[in-house]
Amino acid sequence: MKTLFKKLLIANRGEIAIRVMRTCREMGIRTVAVYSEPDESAMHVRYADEAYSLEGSKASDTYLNQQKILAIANRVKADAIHPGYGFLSENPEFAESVASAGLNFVGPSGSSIRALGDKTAARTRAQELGIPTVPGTEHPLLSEHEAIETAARIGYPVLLKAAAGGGGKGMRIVGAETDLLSALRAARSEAEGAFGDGRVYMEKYVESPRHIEMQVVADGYGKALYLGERECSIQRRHQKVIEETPSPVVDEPLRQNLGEAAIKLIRSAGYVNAGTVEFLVDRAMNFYFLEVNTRLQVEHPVTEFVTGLDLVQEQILIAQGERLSREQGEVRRIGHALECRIYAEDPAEGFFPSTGVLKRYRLPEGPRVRVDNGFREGDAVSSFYDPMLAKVVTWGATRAESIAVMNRALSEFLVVGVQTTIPFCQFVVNHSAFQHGDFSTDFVKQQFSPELMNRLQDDERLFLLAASAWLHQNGATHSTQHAETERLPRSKWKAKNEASHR
Amino acid sequence: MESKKRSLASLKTGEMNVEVGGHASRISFSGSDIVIDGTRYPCEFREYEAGLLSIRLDTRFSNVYIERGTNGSEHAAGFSCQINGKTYSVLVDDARSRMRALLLNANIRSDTTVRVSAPMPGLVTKIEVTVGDVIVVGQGLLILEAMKMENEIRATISGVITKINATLGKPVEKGELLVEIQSHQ
Repeated sequence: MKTLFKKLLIANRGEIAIRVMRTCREMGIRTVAVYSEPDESAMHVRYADEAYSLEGSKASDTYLNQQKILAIANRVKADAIHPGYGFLSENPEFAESVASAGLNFVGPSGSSIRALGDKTAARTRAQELGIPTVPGTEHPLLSEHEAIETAARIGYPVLLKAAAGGGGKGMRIVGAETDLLSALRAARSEAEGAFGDGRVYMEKYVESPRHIEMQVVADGYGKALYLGERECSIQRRHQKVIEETPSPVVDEPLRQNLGEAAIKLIRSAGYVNAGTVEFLVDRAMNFYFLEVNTRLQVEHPVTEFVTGLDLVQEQILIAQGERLSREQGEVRRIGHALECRIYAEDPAEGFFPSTGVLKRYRLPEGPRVRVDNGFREGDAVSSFYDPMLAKVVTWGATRAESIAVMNRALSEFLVVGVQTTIPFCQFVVNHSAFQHGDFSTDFVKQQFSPELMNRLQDDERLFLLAASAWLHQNGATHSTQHAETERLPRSKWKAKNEASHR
Repeated sequence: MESKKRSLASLKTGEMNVEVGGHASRISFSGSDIVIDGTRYPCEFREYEAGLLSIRLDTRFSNVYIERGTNGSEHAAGFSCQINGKTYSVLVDDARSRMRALLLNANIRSDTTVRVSAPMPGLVTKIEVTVGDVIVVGQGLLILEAMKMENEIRATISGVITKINATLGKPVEKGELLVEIQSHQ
């Protein structure tokens, strides 16, 4: 069943499309890009060996349009399609259509995606396999009596959650039985008022949880490996911004438990390819299964940095029908890796997307820094798609080292034209709670404020004052002044010596 | 506001009031030195490309990105500055800006050029005027598509179109010049 791919179509855009193409180039596989009209001159289009228009702007007309993508794949005689993340990556019908068109889908089968991608089905499966899930009711509470019984069984604090849920409405955290019935009545009437549906579930409230996930890979011959966890607790709007591996709180026994639970779960669904199993971990280091991401994750580079593996290469080899070449004991993990996602959004305005043209765009460089980027200077950041510009990933022998490298790398990253999460990420990696590994998914809510983020250091203030004064004086005729400054005979060395003799 | 006017009035030629992060500093240049709130620093400025400044103060170096002519007020020049990934607004007052403000307020100029700039980032999907067109207040100039909405940019003054800076099908940033209108008064 082994086939060697000669040509692979990437049904995605931005940094992930380029990241997949890079590995293809290394493997000698021709790459095919597809693109929407606004992306005509985007970096991923120009990086590919061939590129074809999907004619349209909206995601539903382009990167989500299965028929258009399949038609191009057939026409250009691609052997395989890599979906990246987002868009069609977790769509079981697409995985099946690709297979029935005689092409290879670089990802799991449609039936595995169905079995694990659906949250309720995956939760039931995990329970059947004895993998812990957040304890709670499987159906809406039928009576006050049931509420009291259930809370006593799972233990306080408990969370009451509207079945029709959203936005915190109909949600109550209850710390003790004395408050339970009044909270239940309040939650029901609030849910009734907000959604016209007063049904309420109960589950155990996990206080200050950490979001920790396990990377797995499985081949078509029954072998599966876990490649280590990723800590993804730094989130805004319930989306990850900063990820790392190893987690500052996961020890080897917990890692092994998470890894084995993850493998048990994906094996039960006949899962083949790379995937991620997400867990919540509470303060007492109890873990609860959350969901499965049946695709490559945004944050996969941190795992690549510490294991030395190329996960896209592994995905392609598995899709070509090859066997995993390692045993679990041969998976080595060295040092610590950290990722910051740079989004075009304004951290001071509730992380609202920020659109515009990238007037200046300088990426960080240097040792221990990897940048997965999808934009160039002059590109427009439109409101059509996800506003992620790039991912900055750093490595260090220790966690403190990779944080220091990140801090340095972020200070080199210059973006002018849109607001970005760069200052937010700097705020986080410089925060003592983050540096001590003492944080949960509540970090942003509890610690972040735009005022703290924008606090100026004394020397930064001096340089800003000097720059503004100089520009104000030289602004009107800057090109001449510029030339004169350049022609100044005094060298920096001389100036430095003078200064040090003062 | 009152205190600002007083400090403005006492500015000597060559002196500037620079405000960042809510604090103002008094700055002047003296030979190859810069004097900031009474402290003298030997300095060097290099603008490697428009807006990208490498600065030496005494023995320390830093890079600052600075954008000209944004968010100023009637008597202060405004800059948007970026250092270490963080963006700040800076206001600069000097005797020259103050004079200019006085002249503008006195309405000495008989005709005015109004610069219509983009109120938000977006895509120019239609341009409804050409250079030389005589237009009236409220007339549509162009259509800017942003956040999946079409926004018509209208004239705030009657006059003649003297410049069109927007290009059909091209995105513009917030604050970018779209059209110039010369009004007759």
